[in-house]
Amino acid sequence: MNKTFESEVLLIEDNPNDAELTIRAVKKQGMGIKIHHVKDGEEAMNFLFDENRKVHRQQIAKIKVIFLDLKLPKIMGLEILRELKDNPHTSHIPVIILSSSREDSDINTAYHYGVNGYIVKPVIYEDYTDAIQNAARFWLFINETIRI
Amino acid sequence: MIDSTFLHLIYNTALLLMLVFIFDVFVIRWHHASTLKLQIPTGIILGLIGIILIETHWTLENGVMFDARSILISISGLYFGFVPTLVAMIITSLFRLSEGGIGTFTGILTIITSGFLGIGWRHYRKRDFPEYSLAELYIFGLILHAAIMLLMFTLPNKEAITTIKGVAFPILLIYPVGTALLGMFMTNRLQREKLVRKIREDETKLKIIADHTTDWDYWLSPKGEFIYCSGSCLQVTGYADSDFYADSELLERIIYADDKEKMINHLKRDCSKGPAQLEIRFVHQGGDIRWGNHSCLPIYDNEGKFIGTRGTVRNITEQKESEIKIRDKNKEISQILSMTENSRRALLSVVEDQKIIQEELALLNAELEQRVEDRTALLTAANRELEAFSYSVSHDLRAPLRGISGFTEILMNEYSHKLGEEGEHLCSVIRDNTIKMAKLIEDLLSFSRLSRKELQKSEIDIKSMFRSMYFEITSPEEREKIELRIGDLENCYGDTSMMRLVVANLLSNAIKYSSGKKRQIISVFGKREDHKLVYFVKDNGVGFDMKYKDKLFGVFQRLHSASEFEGTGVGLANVQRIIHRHEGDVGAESTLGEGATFWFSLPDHLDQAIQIK
Repeated sequence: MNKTFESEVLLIEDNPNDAELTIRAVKKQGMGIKIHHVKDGEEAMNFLFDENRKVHRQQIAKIKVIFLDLKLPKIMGLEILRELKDNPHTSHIPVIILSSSREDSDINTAYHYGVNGYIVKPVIYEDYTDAIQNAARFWLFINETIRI
Repeated sequence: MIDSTFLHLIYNTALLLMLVFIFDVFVIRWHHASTLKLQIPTGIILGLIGIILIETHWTLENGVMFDARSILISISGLYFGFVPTLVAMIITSLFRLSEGGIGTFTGILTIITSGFLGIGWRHYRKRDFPEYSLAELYIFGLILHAAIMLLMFTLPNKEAITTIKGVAFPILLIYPVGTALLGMFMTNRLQREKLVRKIREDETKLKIIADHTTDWDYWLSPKGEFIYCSGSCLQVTGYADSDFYADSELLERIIYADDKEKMINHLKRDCSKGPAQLEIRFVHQGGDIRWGNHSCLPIYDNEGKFIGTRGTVRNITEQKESEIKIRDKNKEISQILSMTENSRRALLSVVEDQKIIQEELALLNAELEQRVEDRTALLTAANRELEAFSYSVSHDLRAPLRGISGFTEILMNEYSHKLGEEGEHLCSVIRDNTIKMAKLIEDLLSFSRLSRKELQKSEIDIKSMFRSMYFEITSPEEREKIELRIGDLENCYGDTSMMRLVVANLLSNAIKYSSGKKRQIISVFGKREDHKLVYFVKDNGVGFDMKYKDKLFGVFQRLHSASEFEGTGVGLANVQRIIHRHEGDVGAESTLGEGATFWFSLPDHLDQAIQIK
């Protein structure tokens, strides 16, 4: 069991279709990957921080990568990104933007805030699955991150 | 004896009257030039008269001769003065001496006494102008002859008594009267002379006064003839006074035609009533018109008889011209003033108008600014909306499509056994359409992005760009049937990534639409034209009908069906958008079936480089 939940992913995605497709794609990388799915910005913030803006250390301890959609209800993806990267307790967690936006402004801002990757969601399912699986594989199994 | 005495008296009287003539000729002249040259001859003449007088004596019974020498010499003394009298005294004395006789001594004494008494009397009474009254002359004569009577006692006693007896009565009775009368003649002559002199002086004065004024004075007789015309008429009219004397109508003739009637009325009516004045114009002898102020008045003699008209003409040409000038100047000034006033008013109204215009302008400007602001705000809002739209499209439109694509795929992969052949075919149709739709969305987004992306210009080696892009977009197999000819192309100035899109689009279009040919010939060439660089891409493909030329560069406008040539119709729209953003132009020429030539122009990069520097 322990091994099963060694790798956890936080998916911040409001679109249920995309979320399902993403989850399907990620799960194809291994049954042991636990995916936390939150459906809007507020939910994401509550997942990461308590009411005093303190990090839920337990919650994020095993998060290997955060897939973050930009266009979210309540709190926009870029704001969440900034909160994560500004906070010393979360800044080490790789954040990959999964967005439909190819806008320069979005891409530039995201990197400015310190994003670790930016994937424009392909429309075609095969391409999409490929992109998610590649990213998941890399960040979950190849990339070494700081251990707290 | 009485007859003889009477005759002698007449002679003597005649001789004595000669004195008046001599006095006239000499004394009055030497009054001006009192010289011995005149005085001595006068004395000689007087002496000669004295001799004649002595010669025309009458002789008393006792042989004593008697004559009027005493009157001659004494009057000479009184009126001719010292020198002539002395000369006369000497001549007559010498003559008497030469005559001889018992009365010689007494005769000479008589001469001396008469002479010195006259000289002395004159000396003590009136030196220069010996004007004696009749009474004085009579007393003088009486004293003189009484003295002479006393001198008779110088004769021998017998002769003395006889002589006194014989002459005392006529001498004391007649001689003083003769002396007085002769003296009066002389005095009258003197007085007349004095008067004449006075008149002459006055006349000269008057003449000087009249001739030396700038005014022309004249006096017309009641008949209208010139009695007097001052010489100054020459200065005033240019005609001499003699002209006026000779022709009394000249005065009227020289009046300027327009003023003639006025002048005639003035002369005939006004001038006979009293002082009158008239300003008239007259024609100067030289021909020019002058202004004169004519003043006149009727004159009457002491008896109140009308004796003519006195007139004066004063030359007032200068004054009049000045007046006219002043009047003209005044008129001018008032015109200028009124013009100035008008101008001022006009200016004021212009200023006011301008003010109003300025206010209106300011208002319009404000309005315009407001409108610009509003428009800008609208535009900004529209841009923002567009951005939001693009964002929305890229996100929201693609997400469901991804869902369709994804779940259709899942359906096909995981439920193929349930779908059957027909079901799988339908699913693949769905998938293909989602792919097409995805491509459309992608192109649309790229077009929208191009519009908003900021240009980053630099010099571009466009020839190399064409070549490398050609290799990028074609496969080796494709290149086998393509002949690409690239001429000399000047470097241009632009945004590299965007220009790559342009080049890629034009090249791929050329390749695409000539793909039906066995041998695809694509030529790229350029030229410089009016500070512009123009680049052409020519193919030998299907071409297009020029009537659809306008649709070529429209978004999603296509001239060919998808089965003929693939494409979404965004490529050329992007090209146009990019070139327009570079301040250039695009165009195409073609004949259906004979290939097409697409061109784009850019501002000369050198000009741009200079502007940037």
